[in-house]
Formats: sequence, structure tokens, C-alpha cells
Amino acid sequence: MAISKLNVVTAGPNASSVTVPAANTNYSATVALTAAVYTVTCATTVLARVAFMSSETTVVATAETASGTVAVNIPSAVNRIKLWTDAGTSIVVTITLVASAVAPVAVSGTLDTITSSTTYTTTSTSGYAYVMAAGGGGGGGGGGNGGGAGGGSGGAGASHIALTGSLPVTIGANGTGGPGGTNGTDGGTTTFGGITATGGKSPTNGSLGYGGGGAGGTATGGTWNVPGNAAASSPGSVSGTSGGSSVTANSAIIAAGYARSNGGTGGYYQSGSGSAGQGGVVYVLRY
Amino acid sequence: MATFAVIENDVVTNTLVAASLTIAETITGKTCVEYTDEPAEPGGKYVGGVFIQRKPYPSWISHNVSYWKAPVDLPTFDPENPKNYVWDESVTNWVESPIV
Repeated sequence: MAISKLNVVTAGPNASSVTVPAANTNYSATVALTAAVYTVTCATTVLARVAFMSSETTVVATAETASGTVAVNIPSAVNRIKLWTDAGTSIVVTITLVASAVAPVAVSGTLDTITSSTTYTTTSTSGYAYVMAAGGGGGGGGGGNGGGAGGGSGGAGASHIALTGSLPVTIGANGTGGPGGTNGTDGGTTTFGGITATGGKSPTNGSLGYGGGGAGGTATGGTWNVPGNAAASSPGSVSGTSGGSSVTANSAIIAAGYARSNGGTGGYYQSGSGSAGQGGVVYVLRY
Repeated sequence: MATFAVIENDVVTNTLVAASLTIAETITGKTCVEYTDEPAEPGGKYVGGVFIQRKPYPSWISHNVSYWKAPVDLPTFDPENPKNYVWDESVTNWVESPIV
């Protein structure tokens, strides 16, 4: 028995429909669908099976409706469909594009790590770079009656920028740890490529060994702006030791824009000194 | 590398790392002062050649010229019964706070 060929009609900017005359009959239709995610829809009381094909014998994907609609990922272009329904007459089957397939390409290139203020004049093959700037980490508070709390980490921002001319880079200084019984200092602000990443804070109550940890810095101007982490407060702990610090700065995670400069650790109780935070940093991934 | 404070009207507006004072002032376009162990920080002051930390709370009093301390002493720390305190400026005193 020959397979009847049906006409496909446009049903909207991203949809096509075909009317299936009768149930339990195989039909064919010509289509031109690119690789993407589609939905197949028909009446909820009808089960429709659709085979997406690139030749008379090559099936690229199949779909079977459930309660009216089913999504199907078509991994490569198709030029015809075979379809079948289990009930009804003149059943409209609609194929709708819902998401185009996108093939991401990893950005790779040469990574420069800048830890001192300078003028950046390096170019790249494309003339662009993915950059991340992090403020300096806050210094830990000195220990007093209790252990000092740690400093917060610097904020971080990231963007794609054009590498043109001379670009000033300001690297925020690390916050210094407080001597016993005194606060540490806040980290400095790092600026580059329109990104401003402030330093982490030193704990304001750390001078006497109590209170919460230092707050994280902030970031503005980047496509992605990630605040620094506040240090945990550990003053008053049984051991009387230092407050915690925060996230590790690591060039390997520049793509996520999450690198930050560590805050310093608080000093031991009974007058231990807090440690310094890490200095700010700028990463430039030239591509 | 050395660390420098950016000074504007006796206020420290930023701290940065640079290879030299010339580079620091070229990059920032502002007057910079090198520091080592002094408590230089954004929001602090630089007066008469001395760095003064940012004042944490209005009621805190000067301590060793460059630092600040609360006007009320903390309760004595007991390692066997640790408690956490934070400064409450509205009552100008330390108040107990949960340990987090």
C-alpha cells in the first residue's frame, strides 16, 4: 500500500502544520527543519507518531505525542517526516520551533595575570579580551579578649572588552592584619576596563576580638559582578582562635567570574595579630 | 612591589599596589603616599604624615593615634562559656549576639 503524501502549511513564524486525513494510516510530508528543539502538538485525545528523516531510510529523530504535546530534539537537518495517528479524522499536527541549537565555543587564548598597577598595552589576535578584576582582600582583625575575625574577600567583576591603546590598571592593595587588639584595614579598589571592584572589609569589631567577620567587597561596571564573601565570625569560639576567611582567587575559574582575593585571617585571642588579605588582581584572557 | 595610598583632601580614597610612586601617581592622577605597616585604608585619613584608620563608629575614641577603640570595655572572654558581642551604637555599648 502506498504512503499518501500530505501538504505542510505554515502555521506561524516558527510553526508548520499538517492535516492528517485518517487514523491508522501512514503519511509522508516534505519539510525543511534545521537542527533545533521542536514541539509536536495535536489533539489531546489523539496519539501522533512522527519520524523526522533526512532521506527515505534515515531517521534523525522520532516523537510521540503525550497528552497533546511532546518536545523533540532534532540533532541535524531533516527534509521529510513520516507520521501516523491512532484516532480521528482531519487531525492537525503542528510542529513548532521552540529553541535553536547553539554550539558554544570555548574562549581560549593567553592569560595575563596583573598584580601591580600599570598601563596595559598588549593586544590580541581579535582585538578583544575577557577580563576579570578583583579588589584586595580585607585584613583580619587582631585578637583581643577573643579571637579576631577574618577579613572579607574582594568583589570581582568580569567583562569582554576591546584592547585598544593604553588601558590603566589599578590594583587594589591588600588589607593589612590588625596587631593584637586593633582592627585590620580594608582592601583597596581594583579598576580596569570599566570594572570597579572594591576591597573586602576588615571586621570593625575585630579590635577586641569579638563581632562578625569583615564584609566582602562589591563590584560594578562588569557584565558579571560578584560580591566578595564575608568572613565568618568566629570570635568567642571555645578555642579562641581566628575568624575564617573566604574564597580562593584562582585564574582557572576566571571564566566563571568568581575569583576573588582572599581576606586575611583573624588573630588568636590574647593579642595575636591578624593576617593580611591578598592583594587585588586583574586577569586578562587575550583571544 | 610597594603599596601606596591615594590621598585627596587628607582622606585616603584608595590603596593600590605599584612598582613605584611615579607609576602610582601616573595611573591614578592623584597624590600618593607609600606605606608599609601603617593602617592605610579607603575611608581612612592621612593627617600630618600619620595614617588614621576609618572610624568604625562615631562614639569610638582614639587609640594609639592611628586606631580606634570602643568607649566601653568588653566583657571578659571566658573560653569555657564563649559569648559573642557586637557593638550597638544606639546604646553605645556591646550587646550579646549569637555566634554564627
